Amino acid sequence: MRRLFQTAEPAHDLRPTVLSVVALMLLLLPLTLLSTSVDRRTGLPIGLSGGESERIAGDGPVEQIRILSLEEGFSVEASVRTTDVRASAGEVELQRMGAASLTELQGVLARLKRIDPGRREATLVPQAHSTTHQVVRWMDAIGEGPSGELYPKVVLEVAQ
Amino acid sequence: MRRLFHTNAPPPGPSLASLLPLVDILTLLLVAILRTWNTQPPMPQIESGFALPVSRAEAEPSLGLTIDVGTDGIYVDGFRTGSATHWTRAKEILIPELLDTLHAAGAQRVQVRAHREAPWKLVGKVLTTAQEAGVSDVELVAISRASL
Repeated sequence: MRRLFQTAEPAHDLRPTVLSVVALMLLLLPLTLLSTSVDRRTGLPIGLSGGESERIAGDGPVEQIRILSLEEGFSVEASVRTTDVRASAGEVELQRMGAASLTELQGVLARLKRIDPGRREATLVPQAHSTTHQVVRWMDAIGEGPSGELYPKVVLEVAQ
Repeated sequence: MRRLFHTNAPPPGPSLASLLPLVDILTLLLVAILRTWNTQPPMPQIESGFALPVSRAEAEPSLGLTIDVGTDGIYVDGFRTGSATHWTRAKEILIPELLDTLHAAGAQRVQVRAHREAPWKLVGKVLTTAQEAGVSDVELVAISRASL
């Protein structure tokens, strides 16, 4: 039952609130764009190799992995121990595998990763005329493949 | 009792419904900016057309001395220390001017910002020179794919 002299309370007008949010964003967006960069830079830590084949010490069966960029594709050189991996000096077999593309290279590296899952380093040998963009792309591909982590620590070999 | 001629006229100004799409767009923009937001200041342009390579990595570069390798020159913290063309062609492995500058700075950490088309021969010389100067941490700077 409605009371006599009851007056409907006016609905709260939301427009000033919404307008204040809009005004805040219109101020905030240009200020954010001016004071920061939309390009997020990232740092790729790199190791440097002197040019001679340096073996990275490890306990696993794979002693060294070198990825050489060629005119067409890549060549992967892997030194794999054929004797007791805990022996300080053992027989090492040098395996050479070719890869015509980055996808094939990741496949080769994934096979090596299965042999020695603990290993995280690989040496990349770019050609003298390779561009920085190519080298960064190769580092990305060597670091992580479609099936997961490969060799995130990339040592770059500088031609002497 | 309702008054005669009483009308529920809408208040003047834009309606609430017309403002909501604007708020939606601004919210999306803000989220996109915050997604890529970083504390890094905009990179000063050393040379016109200087472009960094693009990487999948997302870790922020650490602070340190900056070496820029452009298509025209090599710069340390913005100051030119050598010609890119000359040192690309030269047979020497080390760049003496750069070596002297790095020795004087005594930096242990260096970030190398190389133009995406800079030849590896030149970037390799810069890295070797930094290594020769006693720099222990070297980072190659790239643009993250997470950028807008």
